[in-house]
Amino acid sequence: MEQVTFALAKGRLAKKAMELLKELGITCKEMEGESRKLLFTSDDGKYRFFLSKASDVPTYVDYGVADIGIVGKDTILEENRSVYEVLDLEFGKCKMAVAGKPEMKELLESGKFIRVATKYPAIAKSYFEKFHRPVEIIKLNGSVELGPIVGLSDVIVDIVESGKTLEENGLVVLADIEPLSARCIVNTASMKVKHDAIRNLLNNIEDLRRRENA
Amino acid sequence: MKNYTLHIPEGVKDYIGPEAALKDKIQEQIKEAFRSYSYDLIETPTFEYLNVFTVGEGEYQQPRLYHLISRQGEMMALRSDMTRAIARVVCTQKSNTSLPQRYGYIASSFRYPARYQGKLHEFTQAGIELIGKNCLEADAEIIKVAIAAIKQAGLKDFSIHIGSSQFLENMLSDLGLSEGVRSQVYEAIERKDGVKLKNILELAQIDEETLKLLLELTQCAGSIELLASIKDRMTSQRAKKALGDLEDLYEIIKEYGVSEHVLFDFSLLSYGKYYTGMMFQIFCEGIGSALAEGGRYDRLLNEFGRDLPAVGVGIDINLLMQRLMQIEPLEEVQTNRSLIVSYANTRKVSIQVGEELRKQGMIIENSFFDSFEEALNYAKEKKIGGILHFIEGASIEIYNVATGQVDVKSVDELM
Repeated sequence: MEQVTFALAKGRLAKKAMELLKELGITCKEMEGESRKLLFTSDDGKYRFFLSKASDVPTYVDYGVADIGIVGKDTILEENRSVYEVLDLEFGKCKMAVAGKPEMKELLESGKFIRVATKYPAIAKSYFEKFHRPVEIIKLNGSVELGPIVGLSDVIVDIVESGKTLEENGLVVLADIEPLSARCIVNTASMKVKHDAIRNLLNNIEDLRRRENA
Repeated sequence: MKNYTLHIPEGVKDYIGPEAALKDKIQEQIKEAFRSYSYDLIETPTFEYLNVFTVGEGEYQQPRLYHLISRQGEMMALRSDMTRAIARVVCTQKSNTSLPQRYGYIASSFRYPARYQGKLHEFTQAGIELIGKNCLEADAEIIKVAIAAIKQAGLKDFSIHIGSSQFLENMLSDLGLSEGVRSQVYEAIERKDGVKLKNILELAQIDEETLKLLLELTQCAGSIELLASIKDRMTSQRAKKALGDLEDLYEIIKEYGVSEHVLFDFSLLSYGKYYTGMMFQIFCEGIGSALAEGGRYDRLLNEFGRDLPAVGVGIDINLLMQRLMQIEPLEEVQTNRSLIVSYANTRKVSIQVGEELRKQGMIIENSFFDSFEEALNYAKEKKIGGILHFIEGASIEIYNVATGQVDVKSVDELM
């Protein structure tokens, strides 16, 4: 039988995903050790895994070099690739939001021109377009909270988990954009060509989730 | 300004050597298949007025078009798909032109993907359109010709996934969902977002049995037996009828003897709003997207002013080549070629022999080197099969480049 290949977003999501698969009896000893390998095979030989930067997961899945990807909804929205989003894994929950100093709320609602710093320019663009807000989007690659503090931007668009980082820097959530969590995405061709294998796996994950929630 | 003399832009490519030869070969084979089913070749302009490519579905298409502005300030676009150009052609004909009309093409189209997605902006499609007839026999013919073309090009392992746009539309509209919910459903489908689709359906007021079926249908594919089982569970009579049509279509495909390639796909997520009846995609291993896509589109020609039904398919030549090259890597072998080496006193006879051999179907290259050694080195480098060495008079040395073996033959023997 053909193998099913997973692309996992490096870090916490990958760890969570492997825990989930373990509960379904899919284990991968290779991955647990301190190895420099990039591609791993499950102990039963049926699955392959590789870790990649989160924003690359949809790319690997779009091209079909990975059949399934496990990645955050934020990345899916930002990368906007042609892939099936089939399952909400319900971990890594957080939200995409507009944040800034509390006094910015008025400016944000006024519809006046604002500057937005973000790691997610596509998400920010489509959000402000919905409200016909004129904005200047400034793409940053990390510590976006700095933007309003040092005066680079009026507000930021970023992931908010506990809100702690915001709070420590005197920022608050000004508007929610979208709830986020880890999702399972599938290549459009794999969904057909490897339908039975993928469908079974997804069903098993869903059943497991349901049992856990019950 | 940067000097781009030696660069090509993002999204286009050159085809040279064996790759160009492969492309030419499969295009010829596919054209042959199209012709044998009586599809007339059609060529349309590479760019036309923008409206041709935007009428009806403009909003979705526009950001992906290669726009041009003419000297007169008119909006134009590079061809984004042949189907629309053909629709324009058909709708400008006299209304008494006999139907159905069958057209086939192999042409480049141009579309912008999102930035840096690494996909070709100029891609080659081979396709056919059957216009003016709405019947299952026509649907089956399109599927059969697509299969024939792909097989002719040398691909054996592939699967065809047939669905019905009508089935999904009828089912969703018979559920009694509000207009707002329905448009949300279609938006989620358009974005291939199964998670959102599920949430919307769960929040809509649908009875439990139907909801269960719908959720199953969000990703549902299988053989003809699956079709029957879904049909049994359908309450919408119109959805049932659409499934019945698919069963009848399957019968005709069986008569064509190609049903072993066929699977059914009722996944809500594969729904394409462009299609009005059956729709299908062809997939093969090793390629991450559909090799070919087609179906019935009875609404498009209406946008051009004539209410004509139509069905067609487009095969992605670039993906097909990619798959063929995975199966059999290209080699720089030219063993079916021969090189003629001659001198002033043997040139005339070498030309006569060369012309004769070309008539017999051989590929004969003239050597312009001064010495036989230079010609031999060149032949070895280019992996040319043999050298015909016209030393003097009517005898020819025939040199096998790979083995170094030499035969001597007279002109009469060769002719």
